[in-house]
Amino acid sequence: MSNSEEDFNFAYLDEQTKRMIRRALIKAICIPGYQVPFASREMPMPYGWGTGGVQVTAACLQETDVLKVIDQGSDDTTNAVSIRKFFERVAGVKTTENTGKASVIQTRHRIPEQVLSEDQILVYQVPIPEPLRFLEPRETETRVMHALEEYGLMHVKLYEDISINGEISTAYAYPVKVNDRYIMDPSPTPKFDNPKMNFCPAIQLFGAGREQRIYAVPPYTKVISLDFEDYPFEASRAEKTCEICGATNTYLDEVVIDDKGTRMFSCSDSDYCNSRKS
Amino acid sequence: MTNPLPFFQDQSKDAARAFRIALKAMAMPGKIQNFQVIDGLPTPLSIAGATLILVFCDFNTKIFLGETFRNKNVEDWINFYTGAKISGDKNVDFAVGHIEEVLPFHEFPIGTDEYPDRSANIVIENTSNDVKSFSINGPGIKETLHVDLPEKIIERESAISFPLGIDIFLTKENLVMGLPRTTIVET
Repeated sequence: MSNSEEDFNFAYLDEQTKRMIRRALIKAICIPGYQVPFASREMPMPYGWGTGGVQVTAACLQETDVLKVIDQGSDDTTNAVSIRKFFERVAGVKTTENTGKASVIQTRHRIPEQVLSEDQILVYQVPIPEPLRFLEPRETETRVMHALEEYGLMHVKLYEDISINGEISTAYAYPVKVNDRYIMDPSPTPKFDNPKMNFCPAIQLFGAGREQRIYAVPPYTKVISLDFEDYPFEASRAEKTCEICGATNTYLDEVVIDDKGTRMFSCSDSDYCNSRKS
Repeated sequence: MTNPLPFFQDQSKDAARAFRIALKAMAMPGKIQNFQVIDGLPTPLSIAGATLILVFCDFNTKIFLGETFRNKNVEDWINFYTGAKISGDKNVDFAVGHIEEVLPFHEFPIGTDEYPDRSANIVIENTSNDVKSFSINGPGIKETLHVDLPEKIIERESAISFPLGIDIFLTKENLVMGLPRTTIVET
């Protein structure tokens, strides 16, 4: 509790805002995969830096929480460090880089490699919550499409992938169907992570600040990636080995390491990689 | 000098803790969670019922109160801490009452096809009376659970046509159990 700011309300947001977000979160949990509109606030960081995730985390945090923040799997990138520092300062919560020790994990575009538990909450930062947005720009229309479960267009999109590229080339933000009802954007996580969402023991909450939407997946909920019988979903990864820890089953980053364009592959989940190394 | 009405000891931190318990209750239906005790609440409000009101209700919320809860102490307490509008009709966001008082469930808002979230949360107080064993399934439930629920809970089916429906908190003393619209309740 060392350097938390006394002049802020606990976890930055005022109580009325938290209640509004909490009401949205409860409805999101009760209607898995459905996007609940909420009155997103301006946060002391630009849109695109996780203002939605930060608001969800702020509404959820309790004093005893241990917070972990990752950006593309890593604990040490700018976005992760700044959000972690933010909550250390305004909520005084403990933070960790250890996935197993965290009670709340805010993530940008990855799901940790380590299997999560019932006592954990995973908060996703979401840029575009509407999976149908690039197919139909009008919110009024996509609302109706979700209401009528009119998802043919999404299958046409995946079919066009196959007809142009010979395979479903969508590699991230790969659409899923939640609890056999709503099609949901899992945020721009690599499709490698999609199977981890299915029947996950942790509560998964999604916050899109600029787009003012919150959605959720309760624990032990069916989350299926869309596909075709003859083109089944594949959780693809680079067919390489992590050059730091030797893992062959993790999602890898390709890193340029010198001026000559030499590359190496390493785990994108920095905590998982470190735990295997030591 | 009068004593302050009963409330959280630390509004922000206690509300945060209580919300997490409520979230867990709704996310894992059928599992009983317990809230921190608040002493001296106006009767017949339970600790769990009162805590849920404090966590979710404010001047943007309309509350329906069952007949036995409509007394000056309860209404004053709700007014003082939340500013929520106490409503005589059932077009509300939040309802608190014994099960007979909130029946039939379908009179409460169940949302619209485009906005199924515009639906009521119903707090059923003192659920230990007339219970029966049911098996429940659905999101948030790892393996079929057998739980004691009020016999008339089965009537919620008339108010649920997923994704439309009502979401229920069952309370007793400081205990709470969630029953979202996704939960399938069978005898």
